[in-house]
Amino acid sequence: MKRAIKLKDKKILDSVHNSWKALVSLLKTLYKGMPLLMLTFTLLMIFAAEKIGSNTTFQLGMLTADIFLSAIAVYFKSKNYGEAVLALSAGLLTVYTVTWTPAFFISFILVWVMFTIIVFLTTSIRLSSTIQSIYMEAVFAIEQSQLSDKECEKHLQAIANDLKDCIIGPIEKAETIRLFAYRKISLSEMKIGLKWVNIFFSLTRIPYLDLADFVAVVIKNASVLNKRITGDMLFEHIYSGMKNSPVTPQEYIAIFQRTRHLLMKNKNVVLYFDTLNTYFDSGISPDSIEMFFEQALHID
Amino acid sequence: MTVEQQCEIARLMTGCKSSNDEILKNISCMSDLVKEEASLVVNRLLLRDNLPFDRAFPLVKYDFDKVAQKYKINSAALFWVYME
Repeated sequence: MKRAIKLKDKKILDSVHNSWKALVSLLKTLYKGMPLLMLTFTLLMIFAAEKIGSNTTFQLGMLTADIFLSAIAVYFKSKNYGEAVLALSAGLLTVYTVTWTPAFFISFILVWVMFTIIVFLTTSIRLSSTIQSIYMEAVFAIEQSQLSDKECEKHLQAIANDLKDCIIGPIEKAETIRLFAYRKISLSEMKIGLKWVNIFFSLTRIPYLDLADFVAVVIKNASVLNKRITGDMLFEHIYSGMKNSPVTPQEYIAIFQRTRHLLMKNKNVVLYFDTLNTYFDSGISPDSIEMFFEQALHID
Repeated sequence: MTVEQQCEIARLMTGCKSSNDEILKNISCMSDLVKEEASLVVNRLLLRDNLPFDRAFPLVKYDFDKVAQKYKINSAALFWVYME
């Protein structure tokens, strides 16, 4: 536990250091690559600041746009119209009542820009350290990996980064991978699992961790998977059944969660999902669901 | 071996009465997933029986029939798929 906390603290410091290094190296690279363009850009910025600073109409326009954007940001964050409109009114009222001098305007813009940069930087560092600590927990949950902790973490991050056109965010991807690690899904199967969590999430909007659990149970109990029968084929079959069944995806997953132990017992995943689809069409009472599944899945 | 001969063997081994056309149609309609999983289940049952051929033969018929019923397929078609 202590090792994990120490590692986490170290990761946060590393993140700050790495971000700073990346910013400095970006500026250096830009200056080395295009020195004339960088100089022109800086001079242009100074010129624009000087022009805007001496023109009251420009100042008011910029400040109004600034207040407007801030109010929009408040609305998207809080989803509360009252709060956003209050922020907008207070901001506009202040902007229109103050007599703006160039010194006032420059100090306002400077503080505003610095605050925004610091907030964005802090948010990105916090996000990065949260993601790294989730991956670390996943690494600890993976058993008997032949890779070192660092290699394993890199491998997990590569699995997440390989996923293209994804709707789920970086934290959601990391949490999904961590759940797969807890469920002892192999590294090679995590990629296909993550892909299908993303597809199911975009199509059904069921909470991603419920979907990750669903996908993990399917992968873990699919004895049918081999070189010829891929995870894609299996999940396409499952999705087609889900789409054609006369219930919502939420109801489908709810019934799956009630009967998953029978899939884990029999491990005949195709038969299980065909039985699930038959159940929805049969009109059998939910009280008799277990008996129905037991009868349908029992072969010996 | 001709298709007709293969169908005849599948019928003999499973006691199924389906025609050649029905067996072939059933095989072509069967998805790869069903083919693979049903074959795995049959294989599991046959290995579990582990008996000499004369004693295993009636059980083989029964096992194929049982699995075919669960997967809603023809037992002779299942035999064909399993042998493949």
